Amino acid sequence: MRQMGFALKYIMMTLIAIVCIIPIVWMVAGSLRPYEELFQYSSSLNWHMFVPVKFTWENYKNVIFSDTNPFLRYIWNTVIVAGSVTVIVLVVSALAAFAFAKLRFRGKSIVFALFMSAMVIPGEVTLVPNYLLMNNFGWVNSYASLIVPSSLSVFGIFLLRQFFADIPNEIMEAAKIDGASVMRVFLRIVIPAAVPALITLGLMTFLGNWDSYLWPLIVINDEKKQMLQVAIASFSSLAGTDWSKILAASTIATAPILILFLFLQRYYIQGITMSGVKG
Amino acid sequence: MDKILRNHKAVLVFLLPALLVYLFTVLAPILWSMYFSFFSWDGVSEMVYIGFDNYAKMFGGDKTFWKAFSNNLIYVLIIVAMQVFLGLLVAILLTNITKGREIFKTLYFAPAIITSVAIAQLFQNVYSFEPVGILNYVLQQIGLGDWSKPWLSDLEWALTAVSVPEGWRFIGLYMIILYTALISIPSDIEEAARMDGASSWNLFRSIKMPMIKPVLMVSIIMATTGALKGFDIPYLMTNGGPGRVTELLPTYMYKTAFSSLNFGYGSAMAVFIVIESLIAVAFIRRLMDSKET
Repeated sequence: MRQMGFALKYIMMTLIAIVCIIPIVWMVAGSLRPYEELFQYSSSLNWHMFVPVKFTWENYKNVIFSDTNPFLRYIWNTVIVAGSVTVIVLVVSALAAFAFAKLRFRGKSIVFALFMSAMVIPGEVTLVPNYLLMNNFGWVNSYASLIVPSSLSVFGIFLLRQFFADIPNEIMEAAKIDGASVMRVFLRIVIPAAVPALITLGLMTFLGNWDSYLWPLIVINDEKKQMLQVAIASFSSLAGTDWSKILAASTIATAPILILFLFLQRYYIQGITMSGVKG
Repeated sequence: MDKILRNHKAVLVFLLPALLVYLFTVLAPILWSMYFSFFSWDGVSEMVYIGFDNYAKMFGGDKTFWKAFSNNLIYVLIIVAMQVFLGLLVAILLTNITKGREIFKTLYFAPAIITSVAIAQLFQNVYSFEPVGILNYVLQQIGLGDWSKPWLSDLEWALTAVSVPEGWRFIGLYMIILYTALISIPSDIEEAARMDGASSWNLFRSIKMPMIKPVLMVSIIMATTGALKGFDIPYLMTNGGPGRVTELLPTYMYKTAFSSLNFGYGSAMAVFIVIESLIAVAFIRRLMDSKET
C-alpha cells in the first residue's frame, strides 16, 4: 500500500512535468525539422514526434537572414533596451531601498506605502498618458520611450529593502568612526553585501523587458527600431501556417533568456520566493 | 550614525530618482487618465469636455464593454484556479517526495521563462484543427476524436482556450512560492501532530493551511491582478475573436484608445480597470481574513 502510494505520487508528478515540458520540446523540435515533416510525424505516435528525422537549420537561416526581417538587428535593439532598463532599475531601486531600509525621515511609511500600492495597480492605466507624454517629448520611435517609462521597479525597491534591512547597523557604525559619508557607507558596505539580491533583481528585470510586447507595440513604428517580441509576432502573422518557421522564430525569442535562466536559476527562484512574503 | 542617517540632504539624494520616476510614470499618468476620461478626444483635434458621458456609455449602452468584463472574470477564475490551486497541489506533492525535488522544480518552472509571444504561437499550434495540432491529435488517439475541434474559433471554447496558456505558464511560479511556505513550517509541529494521531488530511487542513494562509493570500492576489491585466496572449492568439468571445477589458481598452483613437473613452476604461483591481484585492483580503480565524 505504502509503495503503491509512493509510485502513484511519482507517476502524477511525472505526468504534470510532461504537460509542462511537452509544448516546449515540441517547439524546439519543430523548429529543427523541414515543414513537410512537422505534420507527417504529428499523426503517428512515436518518438519522431519529438525528435526530427531530418535535422535542418534551414528554418533558422530563413528567419534570421530574411531580407524583410533583420532579426539580428531586433535582437540587438532588445539587448540594448533591456540592458539599459536593467542598469537604471538597479541604480534607482538600490538608492530608494537604502533610504527606506536605513535612513530616518518623516513620512517614510506613507511614502513607502504609496510606492508599494503601485504593485497592484495595472500598468494599463498608464498606457494612454505615457504614450501622450512620449509623444510630447518627441520620443516616439526612440529607445528613450522604451527605457524611461520602465525605469521604476516597485518590486525591486521592495526586494532590496528586505535585503538591506538585514545588514546590521553595527557594520555601518564602524564605518562612521572612520568618518565615512552616507554615500560611502552605501557604496562600500551595503552594495557589496547585497550582490546576490542585485543579481536577482537584474535578472528578473532583464527577463521582464525581454518579454515586453504591448508597450513597444504602441511607441515603436519604425521597423528598424522594433523590439524582438513585436517583430516576431508580426513576422508570424505574415508567415500564416508556415509553422516550422514560426516555431524557429519562437525559439529565437525564448532561447537566450532560457539559457540565462538555466545558469542563474538560483537567483531567480530566490526573487520569486521573496515576492510571496510581501503580504 | 544617527545624525548621518537623519541627514535630509542624503534622504533627498537617495529618494529623488525613484520619486521623480514614480511621479512621472505612475502617479501623474493615473491622474491624467482620470482627467482624460471626462473628455472626448482623438489625440489630434480639440479636447471636448463631456462630463460623465464616457462612464454613462460604458455602464449603459456598450455591450462590448460588458462582454469584455464578464469574459475577464471567467479568465481570472480559470487562471487563479490553475495557478494557485494546481500550484498548491504540485507544491504538496513535491513536499511528499524525497528524491528528485530539484529536477521536478526546474521542469515545472520552465514554462514561466518562455516569452508570451512564443507561448501564444505555440498554443495556436497546439490547438490547431487543420493541419491537426497536438491536442486534437491526442484526443483522436485516445478515442475522443469527437471532441476534437478548432478550439480557438469555437464560440463555446475559445475563451477557455486562450485562458489555459496563461494559467499553464505560471503554475510553476506559484508552486515555488507555496512550496517554500510549506517547507518553512517547523518540522516539530508536524511531528507533534502526528504523535497525537492526526491523519495527513487533518494535518494539512488544520495545521499547514492556516500556517501558509498569508502566502496563499498573496498568491491569489498576485494571480488575480495579473489576470485582470491580461493582454499579450489573448490578443496575440485570437485578437478578441471570434466576434468578441475572447475580448478582455485590457484588449478592448487598447483597441479603443490606439486603434479607434478614442483616448477619452479608453481612459475611462483604464480607470475602471484600476478600480476593479483595487476592489478585487480588498475583496480577497476580506474573504481570506474572515475565513476560520
